[in-house]
Amino acid sequence: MVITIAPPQVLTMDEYERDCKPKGWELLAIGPTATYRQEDWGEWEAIRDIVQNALDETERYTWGYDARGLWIADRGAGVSVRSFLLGPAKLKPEWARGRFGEGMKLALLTFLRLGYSVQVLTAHRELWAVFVRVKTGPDEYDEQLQALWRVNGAKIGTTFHIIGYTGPAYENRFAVNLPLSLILAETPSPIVEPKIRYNQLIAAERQAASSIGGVIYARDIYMRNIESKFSYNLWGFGMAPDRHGPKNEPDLWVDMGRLWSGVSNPLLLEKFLWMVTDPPREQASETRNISMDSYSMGSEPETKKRYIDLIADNAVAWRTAWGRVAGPGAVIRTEPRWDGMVKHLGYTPVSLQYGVRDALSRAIMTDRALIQESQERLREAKIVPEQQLTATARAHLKLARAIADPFGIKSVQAAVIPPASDRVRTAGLYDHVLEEIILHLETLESARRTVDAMVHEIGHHRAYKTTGDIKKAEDLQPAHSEAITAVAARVVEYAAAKRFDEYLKEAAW
Amino acid sequence: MTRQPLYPHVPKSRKTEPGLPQDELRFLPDSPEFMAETITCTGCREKLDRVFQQAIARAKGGK
Repeated sequence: MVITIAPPQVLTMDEYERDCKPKGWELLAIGPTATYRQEDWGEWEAIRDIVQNALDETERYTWGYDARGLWIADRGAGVSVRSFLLGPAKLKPEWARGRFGEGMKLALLTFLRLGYSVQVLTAHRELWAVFVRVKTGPDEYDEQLQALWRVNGAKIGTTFHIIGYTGPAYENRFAVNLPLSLILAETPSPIVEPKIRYNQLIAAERQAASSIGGVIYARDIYMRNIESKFSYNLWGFGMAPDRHGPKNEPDLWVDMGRLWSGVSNPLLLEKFLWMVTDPPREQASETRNISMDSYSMGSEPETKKRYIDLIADNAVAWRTAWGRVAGPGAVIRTEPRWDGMVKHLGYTPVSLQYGVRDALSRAIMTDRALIQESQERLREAKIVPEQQLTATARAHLKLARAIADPFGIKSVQAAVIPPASDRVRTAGLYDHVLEEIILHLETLESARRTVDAMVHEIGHHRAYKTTGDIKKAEDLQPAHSEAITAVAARVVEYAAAKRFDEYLKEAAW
Repeated sequence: MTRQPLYPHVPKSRKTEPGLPQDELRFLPDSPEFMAETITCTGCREKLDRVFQQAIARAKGGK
């Protein structure tokens, strides 16, 4: 038998003794006074913590409205009377959604304060939250939260009934209520107890839980709005005691990084890259906050792989997305210093936000990697002995050496030079270690191309010798441009002075 | 007794890594298009063409 008429919300001890005790009701002092934490707990916080307890108990809950108001139920083992005492000695485990076990009591307090009676039917017990007027001085009274309880109630599970409440149940603030079709991707979180929990990427557009785009659910429960096309259900960061935010803000964004590390759908990755290019193609909360720091993300529990290695596993998808966002010839820009050489190699440097740059370099080519690869290719240039050259190339090589002679170049060689990248050919190069110029065989088939190449490459040498810094002698640097102009003028002068005539008898301009 | 050099001489070559600082490039490669473009930018394009064509004519004509 369950009573359906709520007791008065404020009860005196006399009333208790007269009306309740004879019917078998016992009184349990929960503790807080009616004004405890009045400022930061409302209907949402109260419902949140009731649902949180239900989810920790059984992973799911049901809810609805009947003639008496909103009810929230689970099919768990029930709540002991002792659990209603404020300040239990034992905290919930780290992996639970709740932590301190106080939310349920504060939920009762909040609803009572708002004018709603709360009935709890739990395994073999029935309980009502009431304020009891207690004497605190000669003429002073205070209202203290207490519970009327007696053996009765349901056989299993727990139902909270908020009598008279017809307000929102906040169902879209609990990720367990989302349709599966909204879950776009999942990556194992570091939480493995009582089972592996998955960080979830959720389509925010069709969810409408937030006025500014997406939301962050922390362990299935709404935590905050974010400006994003995505919502997130994250498990791998600790919550502050009041549950209004993470214990440590950066941990939240690292956990989001863990989720994105495991995403393999190029269409999703494309949207992600729109948010994390610098400047962002699309400004979002993720833009400046998300972190894919390898050490902080750690290893995922299913395969024991580092989260950052998941990015390398999904390299094809990342590259596809990168090509769509940044263009087919784009590389990750790590330093402005490489911009000139990257463009020289036929590529475009594109910046990413600092928090994701190093991680995404596992899948996407960086400026530095492009240049290193280029240098390795160029190292494979094959010098062709003079006697193996065509007569024309041999004649032009002699011309090249004659042009180089007054400028202190140590050697000029003919070679088959690999392309510096897959987007450009290499007509010649300057090696500042050997102070040597190497000309491609094709360059040497034309006197004009040979002269152009020599003026350009001697320009590198001259700029290097003038500045003492090879970085200032690179293409597009002012010192190199100035040096080319000076070298060209001198070569014109020498040619006009007939200094090269003897090498031009077999030349083909 | 003949003393061996402490550090035997290793000839320089493109195959050896000279231990350059990370931000230094050993090889500065250039495409034919870029080379031609930089010569044009010097303003010496026409002079170079003219003076070398004259020199070739001299050399081949024995003038």
